[in-house]
Formats: sequence, structure tokens, C-alpha cells
Amino acid sequence: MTSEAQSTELNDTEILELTEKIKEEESRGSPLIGVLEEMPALLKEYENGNEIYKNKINNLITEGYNHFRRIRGDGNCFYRAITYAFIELVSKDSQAATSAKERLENVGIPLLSELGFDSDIMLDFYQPLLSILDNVKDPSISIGDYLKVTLNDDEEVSNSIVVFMRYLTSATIRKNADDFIPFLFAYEGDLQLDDEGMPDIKKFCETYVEAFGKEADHLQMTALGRVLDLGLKVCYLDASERPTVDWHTLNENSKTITLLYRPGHVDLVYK
Amino acid sequence: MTSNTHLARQLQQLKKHPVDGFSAGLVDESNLFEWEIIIIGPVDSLYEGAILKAKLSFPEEYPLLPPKMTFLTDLWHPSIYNSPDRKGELCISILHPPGDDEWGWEDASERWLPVHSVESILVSVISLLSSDSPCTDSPANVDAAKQVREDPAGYKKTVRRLARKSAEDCWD
Repeated sequence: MTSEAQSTELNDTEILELTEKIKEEESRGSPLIGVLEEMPALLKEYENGNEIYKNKINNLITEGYNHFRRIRGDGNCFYRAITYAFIELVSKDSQAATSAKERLENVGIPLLSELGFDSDIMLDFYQPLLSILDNVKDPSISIGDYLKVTLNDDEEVSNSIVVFMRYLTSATIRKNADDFIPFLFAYEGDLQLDDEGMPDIKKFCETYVEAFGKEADHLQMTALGRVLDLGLKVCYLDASERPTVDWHTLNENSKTITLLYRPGHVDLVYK
Repeated sequence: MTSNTHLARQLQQLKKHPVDGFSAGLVDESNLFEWEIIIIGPVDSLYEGAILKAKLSFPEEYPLLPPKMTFLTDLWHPSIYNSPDRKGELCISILHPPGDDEWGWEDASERWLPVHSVESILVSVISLLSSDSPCTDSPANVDAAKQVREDPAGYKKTVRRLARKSAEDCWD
């Protein structure tokens, strides 16, 4: 970098985009969905670092959270994490897998058409997910191996489902605009307002939800959990001076998955 | 070769249900990523009667990343490059991913999204060509943009001439 470039001041958006680009480049080569790891591997990341993180992780272990799974940090981590954990959860009994598929067919996919997304185009994005939900009912397959082959090894399948999940999130936010608009005002990014001073929800969704590689925030998480009929427990691990992690529950539900959230990144954590 | 279900399905759909205003097919039947496009100049526009040939080149990552569209027909338009190294390349916002700052973040124009298809791209292109006084912000062809602003009659004349020529060339 030349000294001239260094002295150029970047605005917040440019810094955000630069950070996203660097993260995306660094993450290439790491698995989309990592293997199940034991918690000490997470502790190791902070070996020479911050005591606060170490204490929080140790407290998580005491609470019985013994495993975690890394997700590639390419800006799509939330969508890949929820997809993986969702399928893993409903794979435990075939009735749950059937209901999950039926809900997508009866609620999610019609919502996309209702919001005007071309169904021929959408078909390619959701078909892989529907067939995975069918295949996990086969008692002779190993779910772990099967999900590795589909959601990790096959980038086209994994990315198609990310795109579908993004559109499903967008459609849910747009359909329930009244519920979500208040949260848009707090959104940290630049937000375009319409003539009446209300946030432009379509523009917001195109920029922060539908665009591949854009990170998800609480808003997107809540919306996707809602349309999938899935509860999300978010374990918030950051450098704030508290002895334990913060927990946030988005959508109370009997079916719930647990996300490990560190600012700017989502992984999965297991009890 | 890399497969791409999304492109294969669109090709099949467009063959079964052609869309008015353009035709689309592969340059070479064994390569799904290079398409040849023929656009019929929109009625009541400067391009009425024109037959415009173009190429759409898709990256392997399509639909996550947009294709590049290049006109093979000689054209004079602020959004189409005329320099020898990028001649014919179309520069419009929907063919740029979000975060690509050529226009700056604040710009409200629509960016690339995975939901865009060959059809929706061409609908945008046809609508672009239908305007007699195209947008001249951040032009790809600076001289054409200048002419739109300073000599609109001359601009229209040049466009009409190239439109007629495109139809003649097509029958040669």
C-alpha cells in the first residue's frame, strides 16, 4: 500500500466492505460446514488472548455445551448454520422432516410467489433443500455423512440453499413489514427512506438480505426462524466484561437450535 | 465441464417459451456459459428495425455473480463501451454485484441479485435501449454521453444510422 492510499480516509461503509472482502478472502479454503469439534478447540483460539473469552467459554462448558461446529466466514455463515442445524434437528424423526418439508411447500414457497419472485427461478434454489428433507428420512443413511456430502462438499447445493434462505427471509420481512420496520430505524447501515420518511423495505431487503455474502443481523435471524417455525437461541460471545455469555432467544419454539454468535460471525454450538 | 442447473433450466424454458423482443441460445452446444443473444430493436425507439447481436458470458459462480454482456453489433450509447479493449461491453447497474462501488454505495439503482435471469437481464437492456435520452451518469462511453447532453439531435442521428446498419449487416 502506498503512503498516499494509507492517508485516504475511508468512510464506515467502505471500512465495512473492505472488512467483508478480507474475511471472504481469508475464509476461502476453510470448509463451508466444519466437523463437530470439542470445546477446548474453541478455547485454543484465545490461548494467548483475552481472559474474558476464556472465562465465558469455560462457563459454557460448565453449562454442558461441549461441542461446536465452525461455519465458513464468507458472509453467509448465518444462513449455512441455520440450514445445517435445522436439517440436523428435523432429521431426528421422520415426522419432523415431513412437517418441515410440508411447511416449506405450504407456507414458505407460496410466500415467495406472493411477493412476486419468479417460481421457475426459485425452483432451482429450493429443490435441493426439499430433496435433502426427503432423503434424511431414509433410515439406512448416516445423517452426518449425508449432510457433509450435500451441504459442505457440494458448493452448488450449499449456495443454492443459501440463496433460497435469503429470499425466504426477505419475503418474510416484506410480508410482515409492520413488524420489522421499527427495527430498520436502528439498522447501522445506510438506510434509504421513502418520500414519507419510512425506510424503503424492498431496497433494504435487496441490499442486506437477498445479496449473497451480506451478513445477517438479529432482524434477518428472527424473520427466517419465524418462517421456518424454528426457535433460535443465540449464545453471544464477545469481549464485554461479564463472566458469562449473553443469551438471546429469538422465536420461542419447542424446536430450537443454538447459534454461537461472535460479532460478525455465526457458528453452531451443541449441548 | 462445470454443470449449472440454473442455466440449463433457463435455456430449456426459453426454448419452450420464447420471449418477445429477443432470442437466446448457446454459442457452442457444449458450453452452457456462453450465450448468443439477438435483440430486436424496440418499436417506437431509436432502435426500431435494428437487429442487435450480443454475447452473454456467465461466470462459474452464476447466479451468485452476474454475467458480462457484450454487444457484437456496433453501437453508440453512454452505457456501452466503445474503446478498443472493451468494445461493446455493457455497463449497467444490475450487472454489478452489491458492494461493487463503481457508482458509489448511495446509488439507488438496482444491483445484481441471484434472482436475475437471462430474461430479466434482457428486459432491463431492452428498456435501456428504449430511452431516447439515456442516463449519462458514470458513462462507459464518455463521448456518447457528452453528445446526448450537448447535441441530442446528432446523438439520435448516429444511433439511427447504426440501427439501420445493424439490420443491413444482418442480411449480408
